[in-house]
Amino acid sequence: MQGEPISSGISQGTAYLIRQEVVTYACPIQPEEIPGEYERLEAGVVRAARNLELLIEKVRREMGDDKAEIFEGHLEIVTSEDVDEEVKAIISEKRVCAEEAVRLFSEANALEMEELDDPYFKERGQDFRDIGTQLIRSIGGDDAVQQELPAPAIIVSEELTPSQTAALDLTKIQGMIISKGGVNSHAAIIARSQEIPAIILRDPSPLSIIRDGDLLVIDGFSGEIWINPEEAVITRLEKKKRKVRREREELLKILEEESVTTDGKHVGLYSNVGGLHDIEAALRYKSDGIGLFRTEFLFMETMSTPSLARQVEAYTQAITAMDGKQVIIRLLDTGADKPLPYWTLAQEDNPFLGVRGIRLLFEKESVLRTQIQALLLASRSGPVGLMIPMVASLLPITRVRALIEEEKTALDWDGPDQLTLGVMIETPAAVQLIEEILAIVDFVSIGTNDLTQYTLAADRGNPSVHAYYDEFHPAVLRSIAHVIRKACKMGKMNGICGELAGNPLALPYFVGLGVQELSATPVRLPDLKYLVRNIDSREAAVLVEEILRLPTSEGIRSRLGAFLTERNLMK
Amino acid sequence: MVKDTLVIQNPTGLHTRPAKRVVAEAKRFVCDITIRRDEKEANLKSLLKLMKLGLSQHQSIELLCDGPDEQEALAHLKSYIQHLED
Repeated sequence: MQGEPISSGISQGTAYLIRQEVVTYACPIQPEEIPGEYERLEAGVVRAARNLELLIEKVRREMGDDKAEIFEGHLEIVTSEDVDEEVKAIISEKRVCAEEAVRLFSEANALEMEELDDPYFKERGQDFRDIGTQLIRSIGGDDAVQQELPAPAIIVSEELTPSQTAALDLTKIQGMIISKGGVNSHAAIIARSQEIPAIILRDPSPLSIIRDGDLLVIDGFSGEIWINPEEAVITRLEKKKRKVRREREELLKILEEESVTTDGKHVGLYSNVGGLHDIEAALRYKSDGIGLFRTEFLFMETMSTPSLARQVEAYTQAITAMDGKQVIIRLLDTGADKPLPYWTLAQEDNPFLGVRGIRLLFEKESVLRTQIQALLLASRSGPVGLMIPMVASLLPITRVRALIEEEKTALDWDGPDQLTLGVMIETPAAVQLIEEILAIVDFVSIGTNDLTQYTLAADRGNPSVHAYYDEFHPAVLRSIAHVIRKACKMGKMNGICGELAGNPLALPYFVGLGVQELSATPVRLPDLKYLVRNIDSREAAVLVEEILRLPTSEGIRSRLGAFLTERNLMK
Repeated sequence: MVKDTLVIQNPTGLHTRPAKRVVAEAKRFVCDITIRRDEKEANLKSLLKLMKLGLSQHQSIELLCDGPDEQEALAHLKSYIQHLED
């Protein structure tokens, strides 16, 4: 049997059929019964809400916060005024019982969702029906039931509603076969997040050919399904399963390896993080450090600037988690292009060329002082780099350094500290002044996104100049080379933390330049490490010389692509 | 009444999870908050209505706030929606 794979993996198990319950309701009522139906609806909402709360807890435990939030969304809808008002209006206008009114209400909303163009939203229509079904059952007095599954089980169903999926004991489920929905259906999303294979079989309907208790083998790579197969099939699939597992382990094994080139040069692979959640990922992907901690998110958590204590806590968590590895924390980098809700900033014609980054912090000096104090206090737990954004001259650096000294005095600081000072290189002016900057800082990190937009005079937020914004532009790559080479020569720690740092195509160029660290989203690190481990830095250095002579982005991309292809490293 | 336009940034748009968060943020303000795309509009404090707008990435929307805390609401929600992650 051949279906459409929607979640990869191979497994076998006992078929467990779930038949959709048919909810048909059409019970006309008398006008005097209307208030009674209102009450039944209200009681149903309370019961449905309680069931959902239990479900949310279960899902949070088994599948995490992300999935739980979907049901929090359902809870929000079930208990909303929309449901209360609109369902009651249907009860009184159509003179029907609460169940029928809920059915009409959810069906109308589902149809409306299904008319949308976005395939993801289309499939959410089914969610509205699911919410309706749960509410109808709750009006009837049903509480959620937990089904008893065979282990290992392969679920066979027309489709799985979110609440059905969540109520199942996922530890026993080894696969899913459904007949409706698509790659964005709930069953598919859950299957992928739980890493269990899933297949859609539209015709014939799996419910008509599979019986409870059948032995099923499914291949979520090819979409093949076997019902009560021969021994040979099972053996073959077992073998394929082992091979897939080996390949996967291979990729994860690279995380344990060191990030060194074939000729033994180390390239630090760091993570960009925004909060504690990212730090967990940074650890999971074995980052060599944090190359960029964006503090904007910390400042957006609440409706006012975070307190000193809250900041110290957040920075300390990161420093402690990284256990002595380098952690670079960027001072609050905001401006009219990404405003904080509680700061009223003057409208600017060109926010990217306006009061942003350190310029804005100088206008809000007390905020800057608090952040510096927090970083000083956090540095008691381990080394931390303070990075200044939006620097175009030496003045901001000397001023921040003076403020650090003042805050130390204010804290009665005694003895040495573990706080280093660095600059985010993102303006052409900083590139030109790099030697003078390096003379007075401990480290530099290149922010390629802003450096690209400022060098090429192309606003990265403006779709109409999208074609002019190109990170592989020779002017951008030459600026990077200039900065990294000067930093290496002067023995100063250097790195790259923009989008380009995570781009595999640019990696040979950075390796050739001798960049000390590349900082990217944690999930990119395995791929980057694989490349580092398969490149010779001397060959990459020759490549850099060639790239620096090329006059166009197209030429540069194709040369970099060729370098990777020649080594069989192009994905 | 104050208003502003913005573009949905997060890849999957305002589907259940992000939309739920936006509604929770909107409910922190007392002013009326309306979100508008083309001809359609919805009360931003209603998850049901917001989802029915089907807001996908790169779509341009208009936010309208009307009431005592309209300034703060507009600034906060604009920034919040633009910084949404999936």
